[in-house]
Amino acid sequence: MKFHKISFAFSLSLILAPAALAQTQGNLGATSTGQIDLDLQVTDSVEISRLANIDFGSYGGTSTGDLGSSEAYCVYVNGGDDYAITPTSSNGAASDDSDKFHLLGDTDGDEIMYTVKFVGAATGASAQAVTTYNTASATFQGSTSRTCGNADNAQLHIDIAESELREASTDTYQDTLILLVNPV
Amino acid sequence: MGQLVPTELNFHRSHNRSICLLSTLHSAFLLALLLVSMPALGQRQASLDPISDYDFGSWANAGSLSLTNTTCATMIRGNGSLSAYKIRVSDEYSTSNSDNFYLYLDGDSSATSIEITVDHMDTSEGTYDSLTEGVQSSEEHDSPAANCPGGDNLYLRINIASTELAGKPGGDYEGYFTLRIKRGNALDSEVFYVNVTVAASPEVQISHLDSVDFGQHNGLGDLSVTETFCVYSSEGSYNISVDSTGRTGGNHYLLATSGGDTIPLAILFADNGTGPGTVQLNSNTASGNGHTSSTDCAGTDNASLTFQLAESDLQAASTGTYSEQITILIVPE
Repeated sequence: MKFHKISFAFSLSLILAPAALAQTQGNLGATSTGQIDLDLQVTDSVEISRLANIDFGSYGGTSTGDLGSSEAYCVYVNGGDDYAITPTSSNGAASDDSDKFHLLGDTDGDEIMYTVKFVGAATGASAQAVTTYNTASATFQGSTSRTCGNADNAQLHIDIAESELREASTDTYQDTLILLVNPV
Repeated sequence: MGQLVPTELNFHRSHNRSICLLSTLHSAFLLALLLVSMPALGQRQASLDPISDYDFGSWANAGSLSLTNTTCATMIRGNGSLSAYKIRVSDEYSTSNSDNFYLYLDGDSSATSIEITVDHMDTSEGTYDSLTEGVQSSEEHDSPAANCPGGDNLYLRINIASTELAGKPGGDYEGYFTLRIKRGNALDSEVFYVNVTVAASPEVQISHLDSVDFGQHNGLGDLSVTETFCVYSSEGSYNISVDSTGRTGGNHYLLATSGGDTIPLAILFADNGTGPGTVQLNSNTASGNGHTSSTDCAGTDNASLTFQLAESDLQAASTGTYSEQITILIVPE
């Protein structure tokens, strides 16, 4: 089974009224002083990066138990402000449970449901609560650096129950998890 | 020496003509007439020697000025006895009713003026007293003998405060005054000029300034805006420095209009009207060459400041509006 994720950068531009700018010309004299105003609007900007695909490998007759995998990544938010992640996927919500995600088989369209968990740190996602499909996660704090200082500041965790794997026909299953980051 | 004022003498000449007309009268009447003529011996005669002009020369930010000239002033009765007198100085250029004395640019009373003060001293007194324009002194001067055998007895001091001179346009300032001594109907007067040249101070002017709108930053890239402007300097070279409300430790910042966020701001100066700037201005100064003949730089900017914001600093800034006011000081070099 292959599991794909994509990185997604999101930028929200706010339409803000321009500030009233003014300047003062200098007078002729022994000294002369002029003044100018500077104005800047910083709009929301976020970015998720350092993502990697998750490959669960093969699950066969000798395999037992659930499958789980974590992936750490970086979330930048201007000013190091807070964000939330709303996860969706290319396969859409599971047909049996619209709150859940599912992998789909390449050949016959059989599905394997899975769960997604998020945490605002490089580790510990497996211990978090399951996130509902297309619902904003809890709020986390972003990094002021687009590269998070070449480190990770967030993690997700995918779980597939053994029961789902046992019910699945032989095939290759995959999904693309879409992570939408919003400043909060 | 000033002309004698004939008022009192004419009075006596009139009486002398009466003597001629009555020369054939009775001797007793002649005696009586002689008695009437006796006061002529007590008539005062005022005499004032010319007083030199006051030429202060050129002034260039060198403090207050004061210059004293002296003259001989006497008031002597016909019988040789000495009489006290008072003095008055009148401003002949002034068309106002001011109590003060003034010098005028190029002697034009409608032009820029410099106020002066006038003090007088009688050598027998030894202290100066101030005068009011057109008003007789309250202090009396004692007259020496004719021709002031002990030297000039009237001291007249002209004072110009540096505060009056500072900031005045360069040029020649001139005043024209009349000094008069008087006692009763006896008076004499002399005129004198006061001149000071205010050296033209180096002048500068910054203009053509426009405020800078960085616009919106959406998370990517540095921001850089160059603002060009005009610097006039009568001396040519000048020094430029900048200050900002958010300057801390010599560094400049944009300040969030709400909250405490700041964004480091680099200010770079270029001694040309195209930029970008190359000389960073923190708390230091930089040197430039201004336009020497046109305060408007003949319409072409000759200096520039480049304002730079780094991407990493912008990304570290929270969403919001940031502003700053930059004060640019130009000083002749």
